[in-house]
Order: sequence, then C-alpha cells, then structure tokens
Amino acid sequence: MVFQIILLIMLAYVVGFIYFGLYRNITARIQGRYRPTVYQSFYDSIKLFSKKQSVSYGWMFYLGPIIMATGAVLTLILVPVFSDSDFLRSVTSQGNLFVLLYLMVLGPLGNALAVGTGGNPFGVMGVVRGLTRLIGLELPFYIAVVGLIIAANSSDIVHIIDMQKIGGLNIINHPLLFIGAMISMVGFFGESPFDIPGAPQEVYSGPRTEFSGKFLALLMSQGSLFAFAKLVLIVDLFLGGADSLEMLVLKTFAIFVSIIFIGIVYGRYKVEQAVDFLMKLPTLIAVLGLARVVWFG
Amino acid sequence: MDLASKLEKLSLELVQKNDYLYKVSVKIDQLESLLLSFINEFNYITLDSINCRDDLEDGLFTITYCLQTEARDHIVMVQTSIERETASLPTMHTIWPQAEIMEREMHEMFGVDFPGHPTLIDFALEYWDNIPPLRRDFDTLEYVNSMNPFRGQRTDALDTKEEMKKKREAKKAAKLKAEQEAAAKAAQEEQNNPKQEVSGDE
Amino acid sequence: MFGLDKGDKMESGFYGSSLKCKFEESGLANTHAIMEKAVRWFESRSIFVVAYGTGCGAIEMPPTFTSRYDAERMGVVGVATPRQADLIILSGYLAYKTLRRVIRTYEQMQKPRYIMSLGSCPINGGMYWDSYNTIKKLDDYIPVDVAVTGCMPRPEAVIDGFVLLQERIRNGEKAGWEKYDENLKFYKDNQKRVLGGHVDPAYETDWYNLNGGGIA
Repeated sequence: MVFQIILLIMLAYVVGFIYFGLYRNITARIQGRYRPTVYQSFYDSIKLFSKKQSVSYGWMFYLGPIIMATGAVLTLILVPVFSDSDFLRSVTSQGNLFVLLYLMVLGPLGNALAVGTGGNPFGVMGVVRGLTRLIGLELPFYIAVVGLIIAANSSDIVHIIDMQKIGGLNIINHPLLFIGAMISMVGFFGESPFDIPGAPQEVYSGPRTEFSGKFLALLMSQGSLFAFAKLVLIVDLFLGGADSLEMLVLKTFAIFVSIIFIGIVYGRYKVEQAVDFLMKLPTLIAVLGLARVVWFG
Repeated sequence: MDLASKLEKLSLELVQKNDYLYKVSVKIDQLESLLLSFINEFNYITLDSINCRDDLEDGLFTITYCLQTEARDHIVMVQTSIERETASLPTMHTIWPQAEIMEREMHEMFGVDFPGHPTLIDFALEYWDNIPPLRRDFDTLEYVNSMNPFRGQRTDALDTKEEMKKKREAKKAAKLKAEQEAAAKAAQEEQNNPKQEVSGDE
Repeated sequence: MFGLDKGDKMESGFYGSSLKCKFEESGLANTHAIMEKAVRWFESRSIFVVAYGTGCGAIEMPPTFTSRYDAERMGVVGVATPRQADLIILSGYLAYKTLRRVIRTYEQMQKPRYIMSLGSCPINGGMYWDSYNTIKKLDDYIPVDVAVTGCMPRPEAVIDGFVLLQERIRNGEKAGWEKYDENLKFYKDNQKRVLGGHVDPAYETDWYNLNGGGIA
C-alpha cells in the first residue's frame, strides 16, 4: 500500500507538472507568444530545490508549507483515482466527501500560519484576501456536493461513482450542480477572475512573497499535487470516474483545459466583487440544482 | 482697476514680455501682499513654479514666482531677490498646496530656508551633507571626480590620433595605388585595341 | 542537453561544496560531478527575473518579456519579489538613492543570484558622467555578471545577455555572488564611500539574525 501511495504521488507530481507546463504553453499561444517547453515547470522546481539559500523565520515558517503539502497529499490519497481497480481501495474507503472538504481548507490555514511568522505585509494581505475569497468559493461548491450526496444517498465517493455507472453521469443528470461546482473550481485553481490572493500587480506574490528556494519549491509541488487531486475529485463526482490511466488523463485534461480557457479570457475581480459574484450567481445555480435534486430526485 | 494702474500705485513697473507674459520685480517685504492681490483682484490663481537663480557675484538669490490666470491666457512672473547668506523666504504652502513640494526642492538644491514649512526634509537626495548642489560655489566637477572617478583606460587601448593618421595614410596610399593601376590598365587597353572607343547608343 | 565529457576537468564552481571533483579518482566524485552539471543545466534553463527599472532601460523590459520577443521560451520569467528571483536586471543609470535600494534588494535575493546591467550608464556613467548624484562604475558597488551595452540596448541584445548568462551558469564559471562574498570588504567600503555609511543592514545575515531567524 505504501508503494501504491508513493506511486500515486509520483504520478500526480508528473501529471500535475506537465499540466502546468501545458497551461503555460496554451497561455503563451493564446497571447501570441512562442512558448516555453512543456517541462518548464520541472526545471523551475528542480532549480528551486537546489538553491543554496532559503530564508527562514523560525520553525513555524517550515511548518506552513509542510501543512499545505500534508493537506494536498491526504486529499490525493483519499480521492479514489481509478474506479474499478483495487488501487488504494482500502485507504479511499476510509475517507468520504466530508473529510475531503475539511482537508481542502487545511492548506490555506497552514499557509496563513507560516506567512504570519514571516511578517511580510504583502504576504499577510494575500492571506487575508485568500481567506475572504474562500468564503465565496466554498459556498457553491459545498451546495453542489450536498446535492450529490442527497442524490446518491451516500457521502462515499466510490458509491457516487458506482451510482453514475447505473443511472448515467452526474454532469448530465445534475448539470446545475456541475456548473456551480465548476465556477468555484476556477477559483480553487487560482485562475482569473478569482486570482485575488496572488495578484502580482497588487500584492506582489501574495502569500508566497516571502517564500524562497526550497519553500517555494515545496509550495509549487504541493500546488501541482493538489491541482491533480482536485481534478480527479471533479472527474469522480461528475464524470463517473476513470477506469484506466488513459481515461483519467483524458477526463482530467478536459476539465483542466476548460478551466484554463475561462482563466485566460477574463480579467481579475476585486475582492468584494469576487465574493459578491460567487455569493450570487454560482450559489443561485447550485441552490436551484439542489432544489431540483430534493424535489424531483 | 486694471493691473498696470494698480502696480503704478504701488510704484512697481510692469514689463510686458509678449502678448501673454508679464514681469514685475518686487521687494521681499512686499512679496506676500502682492501675490495675494494677484490672486484676489486679478484672478492669477495658479502657481506654476517657483524658480531660483544664483547670482553669486551680487551675493543674491533671484526668486521667480510664475502665476497663471484661471483662463490660462496670461502669465505673470513676480521676481524678488534675497540675500544669499541668510537665504530665507516666507512659505506659500498655505496659499497654494503645491508650493510645499517646490519649496522643499528649493531648500534641498539651494539651501533656502522656509520658516514655518511643515516638511523641510530630504526630497530627491538622501543624507546630503555638502554645499547644496545647485549653488554656484559647489564645484560639481571636483566633487564628481573625487566621488566617482572615471574608469581606467583599457590596457590594450591605442592612441586614437596615431591610429587615425595611420589609417588615413594607408587609405591615401591605397587610393594612389588604385589610380596608378587604373592608369596602367587603361594604357595597356589602349595599346591592345587602339581605336575601338565605345560611343553612346542612339 | 547536458552530457558528460570524459576528459572534462571541473573546477569546483559550487558554493560550500568541499568535495573536489576529480573524474578519474572515484566513482562517487564522478556521480557528484554529474549531479552538479545536471543542476547547473536546470539552473540555466530556469531564471527568475526581478526587473528593477532604474532608468530609461525599463522600457526595454516589456517587449523582452511579452509577445514580440518572449523570453519565457528560454525559461526566463519575471517574478514579483526579490526573494524568488535569481537575476536582477538594473536597466539604466543609478542615483545614490537608487543604489541604496538596489543593494538592499540584491542582498534579499537568495544564492545563487546574478546581476545584469543594461546600457552604458552603469558601465561608465554615460551621459550622466558629471552628475553630482549618479554613480559611474556599478561594478565597484555590487558584482555585475553581465553588462549589456547600448543606449539603450534593444531587446535582442538583452536576450543575447540572457544567453551569455545561461552559458556561464552551465560552464560553472565563478559568478558575481561568490566574488561578493569573497571581497565583501571591498564592496562595502565602496558603498560606504558614496552612501556615507547609511547602508542598512551591514550585511544580509545581520538583518536575519536581528529578527531571530536564520538562513536555511
């Protein structure tokens, strides 16, 4: 099982970084630039890990990225990656959607602790903006998840996947829930119009301002792991999971590309605009979807 | 009352430079009241700039206030002189807020004091402890050479004059040689085919 | 790509590495050398830049990094903070006031770190040679790795500077930050001469130690 976990983390690391390489590629082509290589994010990561110096502000500063990475790895392990195989089934059956929703908030909290130790005002500003945005982001996503739990009559992700095999995919059965969850997913990926915490023109790198070298590398790595975990979660909940590696890559990539396209097209909201928007339109859509589930099944 | 008669009453002379530009020289004790009357009576409400000139020979600073009308069609330059040694002016930041930063700059560059000015601190320079840099007794070149000497010459650098001379001579020699060769060639060609000069086509 | 040349003797170009890299002697040293070479290659392919627009050269930065010349294809990306940066670009003349901030920014960057200067002003003062407030020789105060000449250099020249820097990193040549550590007294004396001793902190480590932190 340990071997499987290590294998999964390596897979997520590779796939996550290649996705971010593709993300930079696609962005460059849309902006009319040439493009970096697909492996550019690997190069960045290895270079950052091999920096000679990384400034630190005490043990809490070390702990922050580690807490974030813990949240990402746990999320990754608890999400069932392959629907039919026994791959990590004994672990994934331990967790359910509620645990996952808690774990998804662990990262930002750990980050907040570390940034507070660093004492950089831009970092603190970024964290405050990030936590404010989180209020708006969680609302439609949680409503959508509650809708799915009611529809499947279970909070077990494996069960939700199995239900989709019988009754059709959730993206077709519950499109309103899917739209609500996807809009907040754009924010969870830190894409425009919700890229408020790390807005480079406003708060420099936001929470990452004070992180350098190894710390930044760890943050980047956990970011790609977490991105992969979130993509798999969406695929499991709405696209019926994946039974092979090809299907997994295909489905996650489809979700990822649609998120990229949304991110490239739009500009950035202000903090209050973003929370305002997220509390209105996506929440309304998700609530309508929930009502449909409750009254019409 | 128009501008000229008003100034005549104060026994000041209004010099017209061109259609829209006037100049008036005033003693330092009359300055503030004159500026106020320009604002209140003649609608010169905008302060464009405060300029300073260092008249080292006379031991004076000549200060010029440029005022503009609300309609932006006339400018008046109010000129006054202050002692270079004491160098003190009344502050105008209560009348025009923008005067605060102009006076701060003048304090830094010329060492003019403004009693009652709220922020008479460093402006563009930091920790400057020499003579104010735009005063004429500040020797800029000497200061620059002592603080920032020039980069030393390259060790493989050549004398430009010599090199250019050599180059010119080589060019001249090459030209002479080419001329000689051309002459020799022409002579030879003439020898080879004496009377076949090409005439222009018609 | 990086490959191992058997006859290639490497000087230990790495900070803090006590291991002498001699290819012929032991297999362990051999592996170490390969690792160093690999890491250097990755370092050369990923350069995070903080572009400090000190003078008119700042206007050459946007075309270098955007659609027209796209420096990202070589792995050169702009970042927002000096903590994350590997390279600082000083684009133009430096007044004393700017120099003070540049030193502060440079010392906040994490090693290995590099400096690129644009234009003739950082080299010999340029058109500001007789200014009472502008330094003439930037490399007296901080170690410049690549000086791109021109007034101003076009983005092509800037990209050429990037390529030169990448080659130097790949070859493991002695970089500016190592010279800075070795000749710290020389640089600090020069800085104090023009800045009048108003440079704080005295050195980066002092700054960290004040706040109870340390360098990892």
